Amino acid sequence: MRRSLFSRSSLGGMFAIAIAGSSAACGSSTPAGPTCSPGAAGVDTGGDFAPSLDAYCMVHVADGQVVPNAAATPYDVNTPLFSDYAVKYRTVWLPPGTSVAYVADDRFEFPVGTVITKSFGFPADLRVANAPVRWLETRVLIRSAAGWVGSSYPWDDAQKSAQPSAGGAIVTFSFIDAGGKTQTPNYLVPSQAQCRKCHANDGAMITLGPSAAQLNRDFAYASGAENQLAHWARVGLLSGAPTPAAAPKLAVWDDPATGDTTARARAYLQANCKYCHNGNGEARTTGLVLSNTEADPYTLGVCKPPVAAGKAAANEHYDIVPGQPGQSILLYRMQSTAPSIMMPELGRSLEHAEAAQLVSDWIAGLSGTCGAP
Amino acid sequence: MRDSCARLSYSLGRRLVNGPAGRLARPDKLLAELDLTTGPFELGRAGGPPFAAAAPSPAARPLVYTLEMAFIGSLPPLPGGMPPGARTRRLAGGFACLLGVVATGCSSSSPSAPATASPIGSSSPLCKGAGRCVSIAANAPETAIAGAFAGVKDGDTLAFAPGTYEFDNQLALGAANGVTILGAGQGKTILDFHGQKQGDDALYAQSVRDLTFQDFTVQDSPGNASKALGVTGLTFRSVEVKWTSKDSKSHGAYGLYPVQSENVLIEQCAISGASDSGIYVGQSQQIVVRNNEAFANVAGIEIENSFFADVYGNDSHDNTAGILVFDLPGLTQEGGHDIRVHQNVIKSNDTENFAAAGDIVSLVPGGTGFFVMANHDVEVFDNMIIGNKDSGAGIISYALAQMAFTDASYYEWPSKIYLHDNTFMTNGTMPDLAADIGLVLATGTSVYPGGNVPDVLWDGIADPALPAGPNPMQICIHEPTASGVCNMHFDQLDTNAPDESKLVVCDPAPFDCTLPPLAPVTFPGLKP
Repeated sequence: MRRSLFSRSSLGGMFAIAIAGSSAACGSSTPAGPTCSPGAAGVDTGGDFAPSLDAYCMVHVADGQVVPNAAATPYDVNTPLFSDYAVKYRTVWLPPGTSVAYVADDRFEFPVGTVITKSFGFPADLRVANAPVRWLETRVLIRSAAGWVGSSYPWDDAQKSAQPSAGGAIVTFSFIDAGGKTQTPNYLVPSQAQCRKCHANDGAMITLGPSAAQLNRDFAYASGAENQLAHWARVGLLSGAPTPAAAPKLAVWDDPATGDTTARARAYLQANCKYCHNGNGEARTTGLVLSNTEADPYTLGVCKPPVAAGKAAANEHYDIVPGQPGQSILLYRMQSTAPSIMMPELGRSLEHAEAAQLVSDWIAGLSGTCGAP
Repeated sequence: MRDSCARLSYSLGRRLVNGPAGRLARPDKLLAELDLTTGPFELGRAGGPPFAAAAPSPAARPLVYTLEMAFIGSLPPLPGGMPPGARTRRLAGGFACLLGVVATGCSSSSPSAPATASPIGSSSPLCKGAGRCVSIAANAPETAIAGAFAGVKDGDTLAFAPGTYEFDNQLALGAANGVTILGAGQGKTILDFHGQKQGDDALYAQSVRDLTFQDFTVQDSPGNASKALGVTGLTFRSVEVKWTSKDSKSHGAYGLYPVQSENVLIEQCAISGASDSGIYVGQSQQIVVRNNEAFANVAGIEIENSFFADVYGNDSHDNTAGILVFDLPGLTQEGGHDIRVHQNVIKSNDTENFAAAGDIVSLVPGGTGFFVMANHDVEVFDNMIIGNKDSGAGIISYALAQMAFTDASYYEWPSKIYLHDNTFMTNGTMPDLAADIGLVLATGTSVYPGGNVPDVLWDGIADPALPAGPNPMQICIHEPTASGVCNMHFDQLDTNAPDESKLVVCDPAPFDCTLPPLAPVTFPGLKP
């Protein structure tokens, strides 16, 4: 049995992060306040990060919830990256007078000065609706003139203060999942170098979430529910956008109303695998492309032998064997929690069983054979 | 507030560098002085009673030691015990704090803290040259080391003092050029990843220029011991990689793993135990692998889908296979070519294949000296190929992998392969019956010269688009010491009832030709 996230002894797991907070004393922290502006933090500092998250004036935590500061726009995505069942909260801020030019099929290119945050936390019990969340970290991406830079800002136990962590940490705690089972992840707070493991595209950092297809959904703004693309266009964050109905829309992986099994499985792979498995990402060396638009079955993994999978190949021969989830290395690696086998390589220590079931169902429905290996 | 961080780091650093464990005493007394219910963050507050005495004076040190002990001891005992690594993580923050000090330029607030006392400092006897020196003391906590790796700047040397460093996370390098990662020597600086919980690679770098790893040991990584993706100018020098578990199937896949890199030099390294390849260079260009030792891996050295490689002076022994030059379909870079393999000792590679069955190297029989699969323009000469019980040197096509592919640009046959002047001795004495290829080879022992699998064999599978002939693939062989030079005629093999005794043709005449010698690999900065 491990510590509960909320017991006093949870200090142990978060201890490093908590002490690291004292580095704030070394820098000149910009106090958060009603008049703060994300731009004041100085976003083009050559890769250095503000000594305290509040300098970015993007979010704070109150009563177990991340609260966006006035200038930041919260957003959500249709199918998120799985991070050990973490609850997430995303915000974006663009410098005044700037906007994103709409593109239909690719990630949005944000202007210099943009700040994006994504906060990761866990309620004690995922079965409890609207339970307070213990926020572990807020990851900050800043579009500097030289490109995107990123750092995690782990939150202190009091949920008042977050300081950058260059080296990251693995945090262990427990929570109860939606099925009532106690889960104990080795949760990764990434080092600043590890950000590049997923975000680097031919060596340059990029954003992974914000795209037309991912943002094309409603969000419950303080002013009421509104489609995010429409909202962004209305408030000037997005230029040249069509009506949401004319924009692509990624299926919600766990909502059958948004797509069939294929669409939802492909959406899941798009959100959870494609950032590496594309022509320019970390997994460009494998020849396996897992975007939801990949049309060549072989490139998608059907009857494709693994390349440098090592023991992750298990005793099977192909990434995907149509109709045979149990013979498909892709599924095996989704189900594994061994560091040398599991996919994605980072940021997951628990099996996402519900998603594995979805992908299994998808493979089971594929037709064809690979021939005897 | 300004100097509290520095003092905390300093004091923790003193303990870790100089404080023998036996001096950590009296936790109870200090417990009473600290309000731990407010969390450890409070301990960093300047001016509080505990830290008032923590100024860097000799008299203060004992108090600091006990303070830290109290810190640890104050936490309620965990049911089931302390998780591995918990203590290290707890201490880690102090050093991340120190990094913060350096980064924000307020290190001047602790002027009397000697650099050598800090877990991350700025001088090391190991550092040479003009760049910044980032010294890493023994027992420096993981978070601080990872922070130093992430915060690396152009030209830095990161120097590990002698000692064993344990990691529970991957150690990833930030984006900086001209960086050297230095240890005090193989077996002296040991980076131990047996507890690694995140990441398929232990050491990881991507998309940088002129990166050197030198003089340390990496051991027991669950996945690859290292991976360098998209690095131009990459050196591994005198790096040891090993796995200590007797369960060889549990070992990580690759020892040294450059991929899609250019100007790669691997020299004087020692790699053992990899469950795929000890030294694996994939999809790279301009490669020199020389004077290394690889043993007890599945493949000692593998060059895959690569261009312009010079593999020489290595001792590859007691692996499943000594040296492999492969080309595989479905990859970004295909058509491996211009590979020189010379002056290596390829000896007694008789270890049972312990790769996962789906892994491509699992098809290689235990007892393989040298295989070239696909590739063109490969020159293999002046090697000692001795005591590899399945076969000495094989020239094969991807067809032997028996796996379908749909990659139209892939060329699955070996061509323009030149083997000459190698020394063969006592190979092929016992084909590996656990491998398909070995099983087939074993069916011909009644007709093989001397009863052993011939030292040099070609699988006989030729590109059907070429004009038929005795040697369509331009394979040239001049091997006076070989027990046989044979066409195995796998092209005519009945896979249901293989019988090499009816197929094999041992006749060097078709291969009696020469090819122009390949040029040695050169690239900027490479010394002879």
